[in-house]
Amino acid sequence: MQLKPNRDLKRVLAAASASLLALNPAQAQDAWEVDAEILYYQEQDDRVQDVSFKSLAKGTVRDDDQITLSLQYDSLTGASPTGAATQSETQTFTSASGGGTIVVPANELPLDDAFEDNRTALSGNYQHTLASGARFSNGLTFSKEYDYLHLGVNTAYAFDFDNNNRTLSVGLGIANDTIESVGGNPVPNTFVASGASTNFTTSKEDKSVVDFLIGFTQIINRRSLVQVNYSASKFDGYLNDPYKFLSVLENDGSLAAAGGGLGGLYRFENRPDSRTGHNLYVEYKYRFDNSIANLSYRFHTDNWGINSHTVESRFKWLIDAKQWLEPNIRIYSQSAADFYEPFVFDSNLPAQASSDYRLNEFTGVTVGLAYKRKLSKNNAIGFSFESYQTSGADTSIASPTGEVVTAKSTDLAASIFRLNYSFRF
Amino acid sequence: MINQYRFLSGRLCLVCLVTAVLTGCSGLGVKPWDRDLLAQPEMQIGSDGLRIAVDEHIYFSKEATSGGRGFGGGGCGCN
Amino acid sequence: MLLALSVMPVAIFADDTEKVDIEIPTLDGVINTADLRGQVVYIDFWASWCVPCRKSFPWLNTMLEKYEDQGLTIIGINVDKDAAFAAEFLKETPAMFLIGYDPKATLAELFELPAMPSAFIVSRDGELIDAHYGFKTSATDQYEASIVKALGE
Repeated sequence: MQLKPNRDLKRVLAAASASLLALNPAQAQDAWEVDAEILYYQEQDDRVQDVSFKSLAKGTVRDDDQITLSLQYDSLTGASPTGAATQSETQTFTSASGGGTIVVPANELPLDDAFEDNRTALSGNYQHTLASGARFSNGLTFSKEYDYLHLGVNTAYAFDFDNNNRTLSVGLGIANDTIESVGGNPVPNTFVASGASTNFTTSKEDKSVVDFLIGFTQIINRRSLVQVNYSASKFDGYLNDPYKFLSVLENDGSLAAAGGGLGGLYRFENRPDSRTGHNLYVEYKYRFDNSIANLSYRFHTDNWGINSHTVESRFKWLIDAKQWLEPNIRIYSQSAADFYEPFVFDSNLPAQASSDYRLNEFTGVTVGLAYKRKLSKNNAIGFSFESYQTSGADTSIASPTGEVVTAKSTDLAASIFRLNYSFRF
Repeated sequence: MINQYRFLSGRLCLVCLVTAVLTGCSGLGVKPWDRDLLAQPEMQIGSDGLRIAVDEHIYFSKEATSGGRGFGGGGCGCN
Repeated sequence: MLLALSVMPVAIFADDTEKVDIEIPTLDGVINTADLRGQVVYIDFWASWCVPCRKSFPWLNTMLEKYEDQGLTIIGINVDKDAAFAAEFLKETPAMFLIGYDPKATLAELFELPAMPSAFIVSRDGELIDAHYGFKTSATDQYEASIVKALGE
């Protein structure tokens, strides 16, 4: 017997599709899912330490609308690089983040150990599923630090086609941030001078961010899928780190004197007031019988001259129905910003410069392991450990008189411990 | 020199991917009743959202570039 | 497991009639829809991994309770590749209606299911008269109305 062309069935199917209902079977559970996590982040040599709590709640309402709420609280303490270069002489300067005098021994990286901050971040998102199955979502983001306020809105639209095997999504996010540094925001390119309040403005500084994203997801077969995203972002306004300054050197590499018995000469950084960046992101997932492989790659380029490549791989091994173990590895590499200078020469001060080690060329490697276990049908507990290490490029610069001065890179070694608990109700 | 090379390799990747997306890959995909594995939470894009969001936040504060998965993140004086 | 692995190659409509004529393997035999003439047959394709399917079962139970006397038969056809997943689902979400199995997706292919779940209504004289795809609790009135309409014809 053969299946003959079936006009009647087609007619019924056509009629039914007029009132097409939610077609996407991969919806979240019809309940609330809450994920809570405590994180402990520690850098080497008692640099930055972060104790953080984050919680994410996802609720399904009205069949397939989704509410997502998140809360994060960070408590940061420790010592942070000031941006000043290591010198073969003792350095003395005023802390930019809390007042007081810092004495840095010869050949040591100048750190500001008064670094302390708390951050509270909240976000909410409502995703509505339209009759066609397309999703329309709108969200708000908020975060507050002692000296920083962020407010953002975002909107996204996604729809499936080709029998739900393809998804196209577009999104737009707009944010406005306000920076109000302790003791005022420094005037870019002015010299750091103890007690010289003229180098600080009492007015707030603003930063605006616009993000655009377009994403495409393709189901390849029963076991695998791939996602490709292109995103662009534009930052405008005050993009400096108000607590970072650069050492001003004589042509022979020694620290220039500030005069007036103030010790060395330091100058506040000055970055461009606009930045446009592009990201291309590809993620691939494959479901083996007892494991899931996740591979992603990101390429970034921007008009600050920074290009970066990120490769990340996660391999989730489903030990049994109750538990999984997931090793992950991530390799990140970036080139230096055009205006990155580990220090500047007094005889040739550039209009734009930042010695922020995060703008230098470096490679970062993360290796981690996570474990999760179901305690019951609706409860699970997890642990993870990650090690994150960066190693940057040493920079050698010839002074205007031809002497070569070398700055060692500022590297980082951090350990991240996490404990999480999730439940459904 | 290194940067130029990197930029070029990035462009090549972009060209390949855009071609793949635009030409479409007919024959890809599954029937609605074959979504048993794809329906699992682990196979959703953005599964383990909390863990990834926390990771991204750390990288955001320690690296010069961010984003890709979704919006660039941010809203933090840490960068 | 008694599940018949070889589903008969069948057409929804037998060659020379316009009637739905399919054989549905169950745990203890085969249901032939041709034997159900005179009944309104509600055929629901479901899977253990399908979230809306889980939501539809209590409603299907209610419908059976309400309209069985008027001649409604409900058959839930499971499309899981491994019947063990179906058994687990049924333990958590009991079904009062008949359950058939289509692990090789023979019937799913035949009906060209556009979504999970997909439901089809067969009239008392064996004709396919309605279908709906997906399951929304907010649309159950609409689904019920099509059952009532079929029962009245």
